[in-house]
Amino acid sequence: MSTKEELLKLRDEINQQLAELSNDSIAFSVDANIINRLGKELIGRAETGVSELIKNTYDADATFVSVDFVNSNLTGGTLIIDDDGHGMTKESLIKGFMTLSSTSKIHEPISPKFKRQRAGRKGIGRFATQFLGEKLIIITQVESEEFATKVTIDWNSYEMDKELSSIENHIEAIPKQKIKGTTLYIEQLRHSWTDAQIRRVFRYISDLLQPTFLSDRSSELNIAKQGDESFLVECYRTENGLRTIIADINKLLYEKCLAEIDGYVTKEGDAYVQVKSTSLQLNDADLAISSSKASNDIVQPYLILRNVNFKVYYFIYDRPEYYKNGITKQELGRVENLASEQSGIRVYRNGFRVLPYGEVGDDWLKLDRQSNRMQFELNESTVSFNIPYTNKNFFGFVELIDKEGDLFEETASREGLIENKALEELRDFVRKAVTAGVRRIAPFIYNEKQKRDQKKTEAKTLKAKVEGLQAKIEEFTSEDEQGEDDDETDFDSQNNQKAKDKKKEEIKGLLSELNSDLKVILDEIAMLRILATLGITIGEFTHEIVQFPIFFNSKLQSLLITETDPQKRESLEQVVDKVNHLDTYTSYFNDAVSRNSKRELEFIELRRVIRPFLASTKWDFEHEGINVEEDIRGYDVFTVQMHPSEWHSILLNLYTNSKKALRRAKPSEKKIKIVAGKDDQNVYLEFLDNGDGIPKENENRIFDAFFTTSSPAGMNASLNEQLIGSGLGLKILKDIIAEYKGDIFVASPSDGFNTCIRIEIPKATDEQIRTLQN
Amino acid sequence: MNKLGPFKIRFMPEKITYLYLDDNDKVTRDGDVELFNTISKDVEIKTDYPSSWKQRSKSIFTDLNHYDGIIIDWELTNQSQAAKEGSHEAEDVDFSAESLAEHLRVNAAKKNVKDIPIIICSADKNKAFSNLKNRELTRRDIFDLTYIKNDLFVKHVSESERQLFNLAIVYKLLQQSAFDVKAALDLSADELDFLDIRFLDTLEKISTTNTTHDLVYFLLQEFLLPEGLLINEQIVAARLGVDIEKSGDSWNKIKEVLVEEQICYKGLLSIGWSTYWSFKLVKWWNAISDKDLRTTSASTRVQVLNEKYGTTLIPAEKIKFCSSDEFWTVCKGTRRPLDPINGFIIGDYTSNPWLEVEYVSAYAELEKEDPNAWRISAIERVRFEKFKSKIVKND
Repeated sequence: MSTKEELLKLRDEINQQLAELSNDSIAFSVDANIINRLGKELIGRAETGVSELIKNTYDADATFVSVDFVNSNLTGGTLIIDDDGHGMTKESLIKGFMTLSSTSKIHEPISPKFKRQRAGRKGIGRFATQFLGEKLIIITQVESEEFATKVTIDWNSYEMDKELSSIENHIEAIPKQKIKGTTLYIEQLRHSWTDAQIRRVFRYISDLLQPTFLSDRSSELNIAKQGDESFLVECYRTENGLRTIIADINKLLYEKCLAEIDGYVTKEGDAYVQVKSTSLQLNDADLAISSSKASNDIVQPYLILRNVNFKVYYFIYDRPEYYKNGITKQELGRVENLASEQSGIRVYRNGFRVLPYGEVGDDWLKLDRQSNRMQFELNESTVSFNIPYTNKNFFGFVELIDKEGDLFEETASREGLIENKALEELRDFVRKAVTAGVRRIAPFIYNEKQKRDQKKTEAKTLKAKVEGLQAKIEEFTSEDEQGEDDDETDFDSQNNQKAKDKKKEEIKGLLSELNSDLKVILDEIAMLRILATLGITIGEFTHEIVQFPIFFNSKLQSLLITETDPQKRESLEQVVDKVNHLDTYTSYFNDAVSRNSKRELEFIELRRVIRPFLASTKWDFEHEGINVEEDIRGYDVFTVQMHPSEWHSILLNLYTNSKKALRRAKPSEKKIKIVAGKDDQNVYLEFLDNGDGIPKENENRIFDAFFTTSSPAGMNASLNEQLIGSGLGLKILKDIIAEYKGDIFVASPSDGFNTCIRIEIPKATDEQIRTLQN
Repeated sequence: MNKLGPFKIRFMPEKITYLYLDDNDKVTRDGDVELFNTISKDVEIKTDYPSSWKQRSKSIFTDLNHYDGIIIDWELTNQSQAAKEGSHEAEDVDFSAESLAEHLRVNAAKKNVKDIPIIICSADKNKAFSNLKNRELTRRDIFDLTYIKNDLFVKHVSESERQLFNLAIVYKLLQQSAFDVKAALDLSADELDFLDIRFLDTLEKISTTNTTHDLVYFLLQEFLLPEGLLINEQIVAARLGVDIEKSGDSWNKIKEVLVEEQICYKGLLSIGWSTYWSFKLVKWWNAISDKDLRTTSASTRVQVLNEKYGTTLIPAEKIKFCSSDEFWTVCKGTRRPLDPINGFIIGDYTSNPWLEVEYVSAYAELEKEDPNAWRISAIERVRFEKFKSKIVKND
């Protein structure tokens, strides 16, 4: 029996004797299985486990951590977490890692070197390793010691019915692997890992990331070193010896930006900026901010400022539609969250961060104080609109290479640089360069904004609703798949549950809205089907009837010639009058029907639809005693391409409505006025009457399907009565006009009129009109 | 008044009879022509069902023994609505107006059948016919005239009755007597010198070598209907500076003067169509005034007439955007007097040299409803565009 075994035996005996001796005291013994149970209960899910281990490296003042999932497509793989933190001595390993519920994190809430606020939760790490894999190897070393310490733990030995402290783990001193830092090998992984899971791990820790901010140019030229305060994590997957990067800060954050703006000042003092954006398909190199090769409109080179690089990543939040690189709403939301702590443009001097530049709340470039309004020339006109470019919209840094301290000097209190000419020029440069970059982007955003505004003004269509629902469901399911960021505590999961319930409610709401819309649409379709059938019948009818007026007229007028009885003559003349009325109507409808059979779209000059309409309805409005006035302003009043028959429908419909309104109002002089013309963008038509007007509250509703002021058709009403009062008329007009991105609305009538329906349709371009006429 | 000129008809013709082929039922067909037959003392239209090609293409040779002209409905496609079992009206109409007309023309040229006027008409409610008639149908000179059915039988029935009558007589005359230019145009040898020699030359050539229908076609389409040697009443009024509507009876008085002064055309086809000799109008003007007609303003022209004939003619006003009232033609769009310097040439480039160019005013072009009604010639396009931009700027 070895000494060790003897000692252990002795300890057990002593414990036993102690227990027998003292009747009034008792101690807990700990079953080894507690490790298992704690692991399961504290960790919950594998991604959280890994993120806890990464947080520990942050707490250990690491600047670079690599996380490598080796052969982990299936269970049984290996996870290697390698950091360059301060590492552990044998002693601190035993006191810290190997002691359950160690208090070291409570005693030292701030990390020793970088004064980081500790991120890892107390004592979770070791359970995480147990939760993740069956075996753990820790190799750790500190800068001040010659050897590394290696511990191997086989979690399978922590089984039930064993006293916890009785299980031994192998510890040994081995040669140092690197200057400092810790490497964890978690072997025999209990889970398989997908790329999505690995990315999720990365996201969980993404708010700890401190970018390195080493500009491409300075790293190429090797004139600046990485800022040593950074905290970078890269997640890899290694399969069959092949290592691929799954997630790093570029992949998951900066590559998703709307644009990259970077600039530099050369050793001659010339300043340039370049703008790159995959979303906007923009790659502008070297726009001069100031230059020694100056042409007149570019300012002189900087007098003092030399060797400056900067790079910023530009984001506009809440507008994922601007990004063509596939950033999702959630991703953009995460960046925005990150922005509240990490955004701004920081300053690094010779590789060291200079505070407070770029800290939250610091506005050394006065970006937050400027107006967001930006003016630029677009298509020969000046456009002015708001584009956000405050500190919050940038993640970035400025690198000053000033080895000798010639240009910049830090204040004695280490709170920034001394205000001097160089700093003044630096401010000027970065500010101008960032503004120039944004200005370059502005027209693209302006166009997108225009598109969006246009969408907004369109009624919330069924399509929009369906898309909204789809987006909601996708959001919901993708979050479900991702799980929650922090499902470790009851409070968080309650919150998540609430959010989920809210989304469910929203989806339900949208569904029921869609359902009722669907009902309306089905009703509408049923009615339209009847109208279509009726249309065909009218077509056939007019085609047949069109020849009768000749017959009637020929017969009647022959009779008139031979008839001498004045009474009979009068009757005959009345019949001739009516036959002519019938003739005007049938020929108008016949014309409309035959035009309808024409499918091509035409640019339509409004007088060419208004005048034939007036000619064909002349008899009718004279009969109704309506005075019709036409006022067409200007020439070439061409709409975009439309079906000519659509204007027949529009005018006939408006006329029918006016006629009814005039019948109800019975003014002493019935008036209708048709005004047409064009403005910068549209062709317009106003249909005015002095009928009984439209009550304010109905102004928007009159264009809804089935809205009607006619009294409802009775049960026994004929199909015809039902159709005329169907309330579909204006709705159909609205649909026609919406098709061409036009608008129909109730406008304020001019003096002497009570109703004005105004239609606006985009006009044909001058170029289109020219080709039309040649 | 409607004397036939020196071309005396050697016998007073019996009633002129036209055959009208239409695929409607008999009641409808007869009803359609009833007004025409009621008002006309000289012409009778008899209707028949077109029947099948097999039948009609043969029977037409003998049919024409009873007729002096034929009217065909353009849309001979439908089976008769009131087809009666056993009768020829039960047969499907399987030919077009054009094929029957072509058949007749070819056989007339071969003297297999009498050469007669062929008229085509259509209900034309879809504009297809109007768009076609002036281009396709008469260009192929198989039809003498084309009518909208409603105009032919109802709306302009008095005019069309005269025209159908005149046409049939002219066919008969030309086939009975040798062609004489002076007699045909009712001009003296001296007066003939005023006419474009190319016109006279063409006329003589056609009259000696071609068929009757070719000659009638030439007279109608290249002489009588277009403006040139002959001008219509509207152009006469324009050249005299007169607003017809506002002048009322005074205009009728001037028209009587024009008849007295023999400015009216009295030659062949003048019964159906009333026109005036362009050269005679100027000649007459020069006799009553020492002012140059072409370069005198409308108000001065009217003043001269009013003083001379004691009338109260009202001068015509300029069309919007026009600068000159030295009117010479009428605008194709507004039908109102126009000085060609304010007009824009329309139409094709192949018209005969004795015919006048047609003009449209800028106003009519800008306001036009039917984009296909006319087309400003390419040579005038740029001028028009410049003019238009000036108007739009001032508007």
